[in-house]
Amino acid sequence: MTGILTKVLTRTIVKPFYEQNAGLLAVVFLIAGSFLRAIEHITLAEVAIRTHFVLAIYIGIWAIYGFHTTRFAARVLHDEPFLHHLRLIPVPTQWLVLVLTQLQLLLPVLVYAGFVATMAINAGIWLSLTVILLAIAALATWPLIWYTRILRNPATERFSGKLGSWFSQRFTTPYLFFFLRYLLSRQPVLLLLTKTGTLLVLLGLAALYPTDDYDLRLFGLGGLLAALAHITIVYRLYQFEHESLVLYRNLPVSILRRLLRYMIQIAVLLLPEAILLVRYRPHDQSLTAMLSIWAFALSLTLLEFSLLFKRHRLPDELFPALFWLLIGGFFAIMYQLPVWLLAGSGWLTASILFIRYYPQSVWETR
Amino acid sequence: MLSLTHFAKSYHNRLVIQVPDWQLPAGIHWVKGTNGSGKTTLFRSIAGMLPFDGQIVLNGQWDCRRHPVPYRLRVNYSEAEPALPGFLTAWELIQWVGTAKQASGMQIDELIDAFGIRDFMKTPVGTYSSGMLKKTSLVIGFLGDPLLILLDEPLVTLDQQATETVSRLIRRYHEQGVSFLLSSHQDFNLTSLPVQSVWRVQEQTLTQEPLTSGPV
Repeated sequence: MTGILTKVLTRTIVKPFYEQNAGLLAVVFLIAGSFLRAIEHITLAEVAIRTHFVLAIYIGIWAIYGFHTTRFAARVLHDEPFLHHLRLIPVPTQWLVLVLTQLQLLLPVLVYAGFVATMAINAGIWLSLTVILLAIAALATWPLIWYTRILRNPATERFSGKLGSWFSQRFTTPYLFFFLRYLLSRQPVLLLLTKTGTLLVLLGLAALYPTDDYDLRLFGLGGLLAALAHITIVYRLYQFEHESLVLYRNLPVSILRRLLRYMIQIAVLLLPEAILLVRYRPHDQSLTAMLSIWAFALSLTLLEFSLLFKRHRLPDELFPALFWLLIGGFFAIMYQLPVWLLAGSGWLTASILFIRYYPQSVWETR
Repeated sequence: MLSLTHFAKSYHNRLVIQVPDWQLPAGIHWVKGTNGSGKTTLFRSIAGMLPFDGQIVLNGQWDCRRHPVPYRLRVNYSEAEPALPGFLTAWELIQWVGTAKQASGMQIDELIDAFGIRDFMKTPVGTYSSGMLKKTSLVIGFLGDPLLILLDEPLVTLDQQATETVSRLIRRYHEQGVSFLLSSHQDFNLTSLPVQSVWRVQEQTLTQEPLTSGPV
């Protein structure tokens, strides 16, 4: 019975989770694989097992990822009434399949934690090893409290909370902020993870810049990474519009105005990056130059969005497009093509693709 | 009023519906069909929400593709199973669609009161029952100054009072020159609406039926 139940949960929770987060995970792997060499990974792990503070940061990141997975699984358990039958099976079996499911969701963390734990064993630092093992055990088991609560209280009504209710009674959200509200209410962890990641990368580059003879290309690479890191959020926008706002297609809005509205929504999403680039502008770089980096990141993000309309793809099918965007962007920056030119080309290509393919696009479930 | 020429819609290369030539005069028209026959696909295509092959023209003037803005200003749609963002309120959605469809504040107020949604319209859609959701979708369907309103299963999940409201509004709008395409498993003959023609979606196409016969 355990095998069948695990299979059901794998198909309903694990598989959709990885499909929906494939873009984000792909970007993390691309960044980890292309910008850090093997020796640097080993050095980082060695620092972590020897420094409690760094190890705590590692575990904190794993915990945020764990919370993201748990939130996803909890939502599926809440929304799929047939999964509420799990309540009818013996508690030990119920817990076993739920922990097995959680372990599958934690797979990227398990692999990396296994690597760090191996380093701790080799170095004979048993305290760090124990802390890592306890952290993993906690990440695999604490969601049981959440999951069990959902199974014991099926079909509970969702409330928007006092703040949400107060907001709804007094204000009307303009269309341009529908998606931002969706992210804040339905995907806060995704938003937090993406923003934390891109802002940390840009901050790191700003700190690195004065240490050597770097030029604007360094921030150009940052802009490229920031755009690629937003792929999952961009996919969510595409999915949200197709699944929950399909009515928008019946509204009398011209294609150019639609394009402009999506540009504004994506620009709002990338506003923190703009603020950071301006705030940490190096003394030898002009404001225009830093804004060109932001415009470049914006154009690439818009290009990712427009590409989605060309052919309906599942999130895990985005990897090749991301790879080529990374390679193309990397060489364009390293060959010192003007950033404004790159941004302009990106915007133009994104606009042409959007105008050409948006009216023909359709969300086709397989 | 509405013409479909060489219309075809497929999913994954599987033909769902094909209509070589359909000239629909102004009036109230009832489209029947079994579950999955393609009624909703047809309605969504006419509403400009799905890409399709062929041509759809309203009043001989507005082509769905070539005149996307004026066409959509005149064609409204109320979904059978409304898929709306659960965190938004009915009020926010009505305001959004109402502004786009150029509905007046007075019309919005009238429709809200007609369907009795004022009490819950400022709570998130995700907390609504299926009937409340349907009423919200119907309010959206009547907004603005349309020439054609597509109502997909308008009577499903509605209480008796709301059913009467729908019939009353259809009759009133029809008197003002608005045409309707209705799809329903329920018999519109019972609502005493002046249904002008009955069509059935079957075997991937549309065929006309006599006004008073046949299972729904």
